[in-house]
Amino acid sequence: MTRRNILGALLAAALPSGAQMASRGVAPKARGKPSGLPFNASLSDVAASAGLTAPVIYGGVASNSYIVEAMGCGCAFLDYDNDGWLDILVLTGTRWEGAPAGTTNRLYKNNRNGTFTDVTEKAGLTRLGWFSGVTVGDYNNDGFEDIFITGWPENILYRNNGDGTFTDVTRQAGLQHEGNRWGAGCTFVDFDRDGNLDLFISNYVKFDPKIVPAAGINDTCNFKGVLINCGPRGLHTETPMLFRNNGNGAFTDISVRSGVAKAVGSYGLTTVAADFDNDGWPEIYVACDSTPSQYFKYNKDGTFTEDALEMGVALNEDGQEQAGMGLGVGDFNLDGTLGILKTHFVEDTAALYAYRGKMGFEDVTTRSGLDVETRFVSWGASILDLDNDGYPDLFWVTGSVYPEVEKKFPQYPHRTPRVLFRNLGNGKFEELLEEGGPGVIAPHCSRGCACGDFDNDGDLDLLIINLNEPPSLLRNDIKGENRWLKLKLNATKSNRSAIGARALVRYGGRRQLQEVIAQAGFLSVNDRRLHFGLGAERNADVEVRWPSGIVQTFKAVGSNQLVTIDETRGIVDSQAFPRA
Amino acid sequence: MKSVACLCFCAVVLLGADSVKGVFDRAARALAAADYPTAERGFQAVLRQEPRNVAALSNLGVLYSRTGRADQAITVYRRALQVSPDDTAILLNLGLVYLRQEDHAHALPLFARVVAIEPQHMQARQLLAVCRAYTGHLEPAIRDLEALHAGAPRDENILFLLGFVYLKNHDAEKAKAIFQQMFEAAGPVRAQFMLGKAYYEAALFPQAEENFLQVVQLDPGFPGVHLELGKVYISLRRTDDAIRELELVLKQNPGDADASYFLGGLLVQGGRFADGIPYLERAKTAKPDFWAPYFYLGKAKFRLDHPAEAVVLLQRAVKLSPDEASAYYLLGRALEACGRAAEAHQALNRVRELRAGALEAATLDDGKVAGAR
Repeated sequence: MTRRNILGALLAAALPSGAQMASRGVAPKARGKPSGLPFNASLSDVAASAGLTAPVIYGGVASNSYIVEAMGCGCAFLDYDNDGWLDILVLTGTRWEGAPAGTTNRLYKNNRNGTFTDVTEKAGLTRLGWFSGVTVGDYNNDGFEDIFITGWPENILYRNNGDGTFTDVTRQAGLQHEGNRWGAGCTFVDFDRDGNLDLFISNYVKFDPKIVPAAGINDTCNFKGVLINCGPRGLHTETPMLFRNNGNGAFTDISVRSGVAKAVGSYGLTTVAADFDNDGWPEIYVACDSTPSQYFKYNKDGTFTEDALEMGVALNEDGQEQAGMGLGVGDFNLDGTLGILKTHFVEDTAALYAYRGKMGFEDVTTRSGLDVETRFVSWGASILDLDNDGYPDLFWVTGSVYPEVEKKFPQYPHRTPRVLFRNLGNGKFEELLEEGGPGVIAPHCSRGCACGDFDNDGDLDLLIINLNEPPSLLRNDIKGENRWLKLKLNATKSNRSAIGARALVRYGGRRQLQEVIAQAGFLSVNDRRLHFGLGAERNADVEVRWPSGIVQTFKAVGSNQLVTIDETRGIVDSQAFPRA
Repeated sequence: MKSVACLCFCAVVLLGADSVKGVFDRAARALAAADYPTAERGFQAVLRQEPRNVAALSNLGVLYSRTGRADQAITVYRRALQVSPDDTAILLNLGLVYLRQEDHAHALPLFARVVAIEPQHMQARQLLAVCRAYTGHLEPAIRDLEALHAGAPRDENILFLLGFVYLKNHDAEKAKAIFQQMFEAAGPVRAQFMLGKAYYEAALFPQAEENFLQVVQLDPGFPGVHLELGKVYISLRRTDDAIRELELVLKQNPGDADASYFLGGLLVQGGRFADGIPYLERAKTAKPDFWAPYFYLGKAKFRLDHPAEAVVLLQRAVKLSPDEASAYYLLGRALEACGRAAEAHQALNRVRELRAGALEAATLDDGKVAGAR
């Protein structure tokens, strides 16, 4: 760190020596006095009792030879059988020397009593490989959610047959690509609003173990002197892909025609499609590792322009690259627009971006108080109201990428706790440690994170991938009388998954916008239902805008219930959830 | 126009009447007396008559260096070297200009050239070792310094540099042995100070803090210790402590450009934009060719919703440091805020180029890597 690059840690020096991830070398700001306000939510890990006992095998335990072993994968909450209860999909990796018997992606069916049954084999989803991300959506509009999974060296599209089974239709759908590629972030998105879900894929790096040196071969690949796997810096970047849904069960690769293939120079990871600028058309934002993140704006003519720099979301506020991993999307400041939470490497802050209209986004990380936390490599992120007080909180999971380091540097442990910032309601957030419950402080090497109400009790729970351990299922238990409203949007004219549909909910002088999105966290998928904490409010006004353009408004919708809204018929069902 | 022509004619007549040597001598005396405007006018006048006058060029270089105009110093020194490429004084001075800007990559070949011409040039050998250390060539730097140390075992500068390079090379034992010798050579207070600086340069900030605090205990008025502590606290992200130390420096010496710059930048980075501006203005005045005060001033103005003023400052920053992606980024955002979309796009495209270039430079060469396996 030189004086030319100034002020020690404040304006970070060039990237660390060797092929690694970008860290700004930032030390955390001193924490202020705690607010002392009670936090009425508590997260406990119930994975074992729920039946999620199979470990997620991903790379070496003590060391990794290649970057593909370190990156991990995502997970999904989905309702694959349409019974109103969230099922779980947990992706897997493998080991370079061969994975233990039984290693596979896993589908768990919700038994509706707090437990799950592994139905992987019955569903036809048994598969081993280096899998990365998942997106869920009804691409053929038959009423059943399908699954698209990315990985190295190839991706898979599973069509839901509607009978509890899935079929690999990658080739028939035209989604099998030439050569080996490392698919990472992915999202279904109806970018052209024709009612069919298209597919966007971010690719991570060009990886070929015949070319990339293993850890220990090239001593420029080091973390503070400890030899580690190389990358991503030093490896060739990739370009994203876009497939247009033909409406007949197949897709056409329009990566070049649409302009997305022009976006070079980044290592793409988690991908979110949402209408950030409120113009009725989705944008696609890609968190990129150690390179500028990408923001694709649809030009309404079949093409996209990448303008993350102009929108203020490519780099941090000083114009520096960060190791973008996970994304949370939500209306954290209750201004009726969607903001972004992006997670990064150790010795760097997460970034919180607020949408500011024509000027794009503003980095509000420091003024929000997030800069007290820089201790961990951070991954799956969520913007979600954990305590139902009407102010969305921030949550993310952590875990090192270099298991080799902690022996020499115990201050960089491999397993690290989760991070929870509660929203104080005044533009600031406060980090909670043990106040968030035992599930927050438990150390793991985590990656993917999905949020959803798996036990249908009116709050948001969390599903987390832990490398070489079983996943965590953090059940949320809320005390007190805060109220909530959950919306299930059933599309009939728009794509059947209602991806891109949004709800603006007004409650007690506040308003909050949420949108149905098909990937978030870290390469993961959240509960499709939109959950709003309402605080003390007993009802709320709801405005739904569908991708088809239809707008519906509903006044004084009662709280503490799941309300199903049909695109043409309005509210068709409401269901109170019993408190657990 | 007529009056300008008349003035030029008069100047030529005057210069003719007063020999070039005379003008040069007066300029040199002015430089020695720190009357820089007079000296500058004189040397410029000489160069109009004799554009290849090495002495005038190199004296101008000295003048520009002293007045913080690094870019102009570099220009005139380079002109001088075109006339006299093996002049070790010019090579050394140019190297020092780069070194002050911490541009070790440009400084290194200049010092190497001096050493090639004069192998026993102690200062150049030390400076070459510093540049090697900062550009990652630690082994040659260690070899050079060990040779120098053998020849001058109690030289504090050499002890400091050798200790610092050992630290950078993660050789704590050897560093410790050298620092022990430094204690014996320099005395406890100065040795602690130099040790602190060595730790700071090696990015071992907690250890640096310890040493500087020892200095304060032994001699609270030791020159430079509060500035160094301020820099250490900045690196440790202990903002309040850094502000305290830097304010102490400025209380004793309000004109301290370094302290003004660090304090101003720190305040801006901490969101206290208005507070940082006066300090950065002072730093900018003292060092008009240093890009960073312009950058932080630009950031402050931008965040205070004065994008037009920010644009002016950031344009100067990128002119002074054309490879600084951060400055281009902020310039692009400020131009956007001013509604100057086309220029903003240009600035942000420059960010893209610089970032892509850096990525390209870091990308493994497949051929080399395959061979390494």
